[in-house]
Amino acid sequence: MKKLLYIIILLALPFGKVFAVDYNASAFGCVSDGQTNNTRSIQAAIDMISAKGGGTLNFYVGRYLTGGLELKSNVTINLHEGAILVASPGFYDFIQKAGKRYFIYAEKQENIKIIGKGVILGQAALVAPNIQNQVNKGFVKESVDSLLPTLVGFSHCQQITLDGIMLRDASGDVLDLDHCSQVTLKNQLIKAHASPKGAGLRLAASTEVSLDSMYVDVAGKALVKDASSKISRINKSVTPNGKPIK
Amino acid sequence: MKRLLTLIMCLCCLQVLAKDYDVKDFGVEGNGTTLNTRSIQAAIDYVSTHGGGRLVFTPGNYVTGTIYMKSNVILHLERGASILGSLNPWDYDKDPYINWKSLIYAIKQENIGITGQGIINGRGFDNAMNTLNLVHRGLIEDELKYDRVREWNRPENIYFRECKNIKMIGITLKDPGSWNQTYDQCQNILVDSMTVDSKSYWNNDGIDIVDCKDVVIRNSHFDAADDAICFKSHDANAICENVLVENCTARSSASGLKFGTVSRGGFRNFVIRNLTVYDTYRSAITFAAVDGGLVENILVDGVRSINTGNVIFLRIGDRWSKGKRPVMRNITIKNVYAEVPMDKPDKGYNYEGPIEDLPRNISPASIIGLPNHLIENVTLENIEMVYPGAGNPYYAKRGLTPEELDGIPEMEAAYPEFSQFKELPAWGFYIRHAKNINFKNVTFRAMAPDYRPSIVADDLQGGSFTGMTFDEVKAGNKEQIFLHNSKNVEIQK
Repeated sequence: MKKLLYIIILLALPFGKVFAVDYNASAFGCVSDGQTNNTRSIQAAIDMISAKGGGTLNFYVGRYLTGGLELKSNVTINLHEGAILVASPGFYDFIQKAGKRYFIYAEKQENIKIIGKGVILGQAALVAPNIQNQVNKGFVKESVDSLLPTLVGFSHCQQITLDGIMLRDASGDVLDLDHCSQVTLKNQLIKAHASPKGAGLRLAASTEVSLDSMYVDVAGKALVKDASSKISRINKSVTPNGKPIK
Repeated sequence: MKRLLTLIMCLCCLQVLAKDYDVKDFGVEGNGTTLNTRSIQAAIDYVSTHGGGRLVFTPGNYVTGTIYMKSNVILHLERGASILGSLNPWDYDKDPYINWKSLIYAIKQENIGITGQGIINGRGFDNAMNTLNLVHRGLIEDELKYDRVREWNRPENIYFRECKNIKMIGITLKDPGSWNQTYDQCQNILVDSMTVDSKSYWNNDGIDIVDCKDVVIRNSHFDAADDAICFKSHDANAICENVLVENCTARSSASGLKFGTVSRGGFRNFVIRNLTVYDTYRSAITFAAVDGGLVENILVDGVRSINTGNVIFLRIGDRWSKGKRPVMRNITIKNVYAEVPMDKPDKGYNYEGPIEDLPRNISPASIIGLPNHLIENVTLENIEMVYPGAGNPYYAKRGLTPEELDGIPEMEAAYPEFSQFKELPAWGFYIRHAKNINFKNVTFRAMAPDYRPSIVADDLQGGSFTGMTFDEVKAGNKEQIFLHNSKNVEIQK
């Protein structure tokens, strides 16, 4: 019996190790000057870490300009205090999925975390003119409103944790959850005023969602959810006028 | 006859001193590719050992690694001449006496300078990236704190140490790999009509004056990612003193004019006149005595602080004091107009200041000592500060109850920044652990209602508020000055 336990521990050790691996963004050539577009470097880092079994990608203080990114299973993004993922405002720089556009996106993934005191910044004021420009020139047919990218979107994902990071300056909705479950949102400041209808959190068919110590300051509704979505717990979460989020 | 001979000899001497040498005569190429380190060094050595003079760089791009200035040599960069830092990290020395990398050193030299309308461009971004790459390949050892190469392993443009009689006139300093220009334990420095464009990488200061005496900085412009005009004191037994800063403009993603952060010896006898600070992320003026240093006899007269995140931050801390007593006293700040924005003031510049210490509403100007080390004798006169207001208690709150005010941490060992205390209980000015602070003719405006009063003083031992104006939108009869644990404070409306 004891032997079996040892074997199990020995077998588990390498996995434990793999999950604890830390990677620094600079090792992938990421530059924190706010000017260099880091899309391919960051995506390569996420893909590689996920393929190797998971780990943490660390961003330290600085502005990391990037186009849309797809998060992958078992990858933790740690935005340390002062680290900012800044959305590149180019019209074609966002992730496009099923007619919707996103800055940070994940689909059919699990065990994803974005943690730290850092920021995900949408740069709405720079994004909108680029959309208008492409619409005016006739290269895209949709309405400007439908082209406003959501800041962070998860679709068909499980075990998502967003802890501490600030979500700011979204062009459209701030955080979209579609067919997701086991979602933990806590200690977050959400600020976005660019889109009059932009929701703070938009839930569709998502369950086991918990909110703890959230401050949601948006032009639209703080929380929009359909009938099939279920919030398991809301604690100490308010809007700017002090009203609890419901 | 004897007199005439003397005169002629004098004239000859002057001529020798002023003699010009064309750097190209020493085989130096201005083609933007040739690495000229050794030929430029040979030229400097030759001129220095042959009575001194100017080494003239005619228009061209002169690539070089580390060079050392020598006594009685002026590098004169004509308009169109650029000295470019090599892109190879191995081309730079980390001088063992300085223990910090630099493109141009001067150590224990006299009568030196860099003049003319030319440019020194450290190409610091590429240098930093190339160095980082060598660290990742294991060829250079560096801890990579904050995921970047430590500042002493990236080259500054200029590091002068223990030099006398320095003239830096007219030149433009661009894009260092670390701080830009350091003058350390030097005497008699003139910086005039200099342009600094220093935002290529982390730690890019504008100018650093460390433990120097008799310094004039005038008619110059500093645009820097880190502190713009910065005085430091590295040595507990040395001091920065007798300094004039006048007619300068500063832009920074940190502070505009700063004493510290390293502040072991101190800062004494300063006059700062006619300073404009704009688009600056942290404070227009920061005086920090956090390492046991002295800050004494400082006059600041004439400041415009436009689109700058904080106006004044005076701070005593106890970080690396090693038992030495920090002192800050006899400071006058007058004739100041300041506008603090709601938005990020340094938006769009390279290496913007980090978003940190949140949640907090707009932070007030502040004078913050420690319980056993009060900041003493500060006069603030003829000042107008315009704030956005709009402090929202649901976002961040620090009320006026004794528990809340006493609950503000002292943070004596923390890195000093205006935002370090997160939410403070005033929207205009916060004073703590201070003695004899006098406000005369000071106006505070808030463009939107704020839940806080304009001024909170905690542990203020003597002082006065006279000729105060408070203009906060929709404030009604709100009490704008709140005193806590304070005594002998006179308030005259």
